[in-house]
Order: sequence, then structure tokens, then C-alpha cells
Amino acid sequence: MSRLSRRTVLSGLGAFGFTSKWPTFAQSSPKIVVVGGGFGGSTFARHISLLYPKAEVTIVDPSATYFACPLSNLVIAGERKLNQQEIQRSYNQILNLTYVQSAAQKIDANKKLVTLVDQSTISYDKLVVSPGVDIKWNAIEGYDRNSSKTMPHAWKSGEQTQLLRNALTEMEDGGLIIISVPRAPFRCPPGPYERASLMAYYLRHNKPKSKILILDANEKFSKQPQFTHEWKQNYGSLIEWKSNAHDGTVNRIHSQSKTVFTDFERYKPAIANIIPPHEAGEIAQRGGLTDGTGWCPINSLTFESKLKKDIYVLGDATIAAPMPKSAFSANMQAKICAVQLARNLSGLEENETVLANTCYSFVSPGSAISIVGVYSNKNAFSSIESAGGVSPIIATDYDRRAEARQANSWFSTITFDAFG
Amino acid sequence: MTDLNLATVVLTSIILFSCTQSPSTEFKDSISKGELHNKGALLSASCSGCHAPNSIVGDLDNLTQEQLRDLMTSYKEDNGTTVMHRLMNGYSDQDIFLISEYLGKTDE
Repeated sequence: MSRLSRRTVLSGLGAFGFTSKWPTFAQSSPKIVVVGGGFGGSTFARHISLLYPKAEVTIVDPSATYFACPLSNLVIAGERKLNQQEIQRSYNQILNLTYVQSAAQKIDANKKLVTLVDQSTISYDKLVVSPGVDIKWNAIEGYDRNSSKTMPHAWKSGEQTQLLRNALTEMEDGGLIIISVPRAPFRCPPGPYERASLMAYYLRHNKPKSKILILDANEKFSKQPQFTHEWKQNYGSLIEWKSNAHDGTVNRIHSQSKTVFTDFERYKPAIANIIPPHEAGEIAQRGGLTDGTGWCPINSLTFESKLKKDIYVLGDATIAAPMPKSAFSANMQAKICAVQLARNLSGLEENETVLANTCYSFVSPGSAISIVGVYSNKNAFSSIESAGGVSPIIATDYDRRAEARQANSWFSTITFDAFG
Repeated sequence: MTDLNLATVVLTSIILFSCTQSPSTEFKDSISKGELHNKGALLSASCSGCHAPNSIVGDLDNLTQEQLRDLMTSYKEDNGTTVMHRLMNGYSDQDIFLISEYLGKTDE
């Protein structure tokens, strides 16, 4: 069936798809606007357009080029090129989906209007906001846009990733690298520790006298026993981790002198990779979709904002714990939201379901571990305790290599599912 | 996006259901086809992120409903530690039935 022509597929959709089950589909042409074209927004826009062909779907994102975060730690270690993270946004093969290359500046939930930066407006019946995260500048005293050029966060993929890669290649052997981790919740919970692993791999082979110090504002971290085991096995004492209780919280930096401060210590590292605290993307804040935490409370069944009617929020910006802020979660949430919204528009009630997340982390370029979670969305998101968990602490090379292959395969399939 | 790509999106996530010839069960008879497919679609949202055609972790396109049900059930009952083992422990027999009805190939 994979050789079907587009025409056959679309007529097939009419004959067998959701469209044929729900009679109201043919009667309304709702305007659905999607703000943000990352894993959440892009997946949603593509799937709702196909599920509900009568809808007029518009997706707004300022950049035609997207740099994916997953696997970007391999770029920092020199094991992948930055252009392998690059995806061109193009939605023009889907008839009822329009791409507007612009940024949303304002949301008026009463008038149901999105204002773009050029002051033009787009009206909507349903709005889906998938804005990702924005850095909280100066949450770490002194850490602002300027200092992020000399002390890159590399927590958004693209230029920042390359800056950290360049710093690593330019560093002399024997240098100290600091990776600072903000208090949870943050995007990609195992990400800082995967980064430490891959940087350590690079150092061991190229600059073996160097050292990595992780300064962590938390007491524990994702896949901790597995990472700790792998670090000891592969990198000896190259990586050191300090928890919050051991003075691990970075609270100030001075960019001119490249100094990093905790409560009791000051460090002058060769490289400071400051991963600062972040919060829901700015448009979510402007639209009144965030609460006091800086994140967006949502209905677990529908992804509708608890603060604004007819606005839905997806991905990293949401409060969806215990689900992590990951590309896998955003992609899956987007598909569920699309099905639920199609039902809602057809006058049907939304169903509860089971949701899953899988996150792979590389411990060296050809070797990975994974964490799995399975969740219910009845009343609120909750973990199904009988399921999930992390790869075994002690595993064969074969198993670790298998998970690395799965991770690479996942990157191809998820980017295809989200962006085409 | 090519025609082939579009077909894949639709196949993996949306239209892999139609009139099925598989043996009906009590559960299947108790809900309408629309509800059956809707619940299956929701559950399957967690599958299509990894299982696209040509994926090394398994292209589900050519598996029958029965094969899918057997595979998922064996992951659930086996004490393995792979991603699929850890995932399937969270799904009931009814969930597995719904996913296989939705994603599995029919005789058509």
C-alpha cells in the first residue's frame, strides 16, 4: 500500500478514514491555527489536516529552517554534522494546510485573533500553541543573551550547538569544562548527562588531560545509575558530578572573566556550558496560557488550556509531568490532540487513552541507553507503575549498540512523522 | 514531501483500518466501529513515532491484526528488558486488541 498515489490515499481517506465515520465532518470548515512548528506544532498541523480535511489549517513559524534538538549532542562531540539536524519546513503538499512564515506576537482569546509581528491578524475557531521553551535570561545572575555567546547553553539547536562544538575543538588539553544544569523541570531531562558522556568521549580521544564538572541544581538525575556506571567504565574519573546539596547550583556568572559562581565556590573553566532555567515560549506567556510556574496548565484528555477556552497547548511548554519535555512526547501529544479535536469538532466526547514516551541517550557514539514511560490521562497525567523503566545498568555491548541503532532510526522516523 | 511520504503518514497514523474480517469478540461487538477505531487511533499515536515504513525497528505495514496482537502480547508476557518489553507492560489485553485492530493489515 505504500506505493499508493496521493490521489488514491486521499480518496482512501474519504472512504475508510475518520471522515467517513463522523457525519458532521462534511458540514463545517473550522479555522485551525497552529503557532509554532516544532515537533508538537508541525505534527499536529499535518495530522489534523489529514484527519479533518474540511478544516482550514494555518501553521505559523518565523523560520523555514528547523534545527532539531535530538541527537544534537553528537554534533557537539563531532560525531554528526549540524546540517544533519536541519529540516526544511514545507507543508505545501497538504491541500488544506497553509504555512505562514512569521512570528505570532499576540493572542486575543476573546476575539479569537492571533496578531503577527507585521500586525496582520489571523482569526481562528481553535488555536494550538506549541511554542517550546524560552530561556529565562538573568535567572542565573549575569547570564544574558550576550554571555550566551561566550558561555553557550546549546539548549536550542543551531548556532548555539555550533558555538559549543567550536569551543570544544579550540580548547587546549587539560581544560576544565563546566556543564550547569537548572532545577527540574527542564527540556530533555537526560540531555545534560548525555552531553557530558559524549564530550567525555571526545576528550578521552583528543584531550585526555581535560575534565568535565557537572554542577547540578538537582539531587538526582534521569538514568543516573546507568550513566554513572557507563562513565566509570568508559571515562574513569573524567566526569565529576556535584548535586545541589554538594554546592552544585550555579547562581551567578561573570562573562568577561568567564567565571562561574556557586554559593561557596568560584570556577574559571575553559568552557562554561550554562544550561539556564527556562519556561514556556514567550507567546504562551503573552497569551495568558502560563501559570505562576512559567508553564502551561492543560486538560490531560484534550490538551486544552485550563486558562483559555479553545486554545490547546502541546509539548515542552505544557505541565504534563510525569511525561517529560521531549520530542517523543510532543509528537505523540500532537497526534492525540488532533484525534481528540477532530472528535470535539464532530460533537463527540473525547476518550481516555494510554500514552507512552521513549528517550534514548548516547553514552558513547555507538552506544545508548533508554528510558520508557507509560501514562494514563484519566483526570490528570499519571504513570502506569507496572510499566516503563530504564535499560539495565549492566548490559552487553550488543544491547547498548542495539539501542544506539534504535535511537538513530527513531530520529529518522520521528522527523518524518512530524515534518514529512 | 513526496507522494510516497504522504502515503506513509496516512498509512502509519490514520487510515490503517477498514472493514475487518477478523473474528469478532464480545468486546468488539459491545462498541461501535467508530469508537473501536477512535480508541485504537489514540493508543497508536505512541507507535508511529518509531514504526514507520523502512524503519529498522519494524515496519508494521505488513503485519496482520493477529500477528500484531501476538507480538505485543509476547512482549507483555516475556520478562525481557528491551524498550518494547518496558512499554507493553503498561497496556491491557483490551488496549493491545484495539491497537492491532487499528494498525493491523486486513485481508482486503
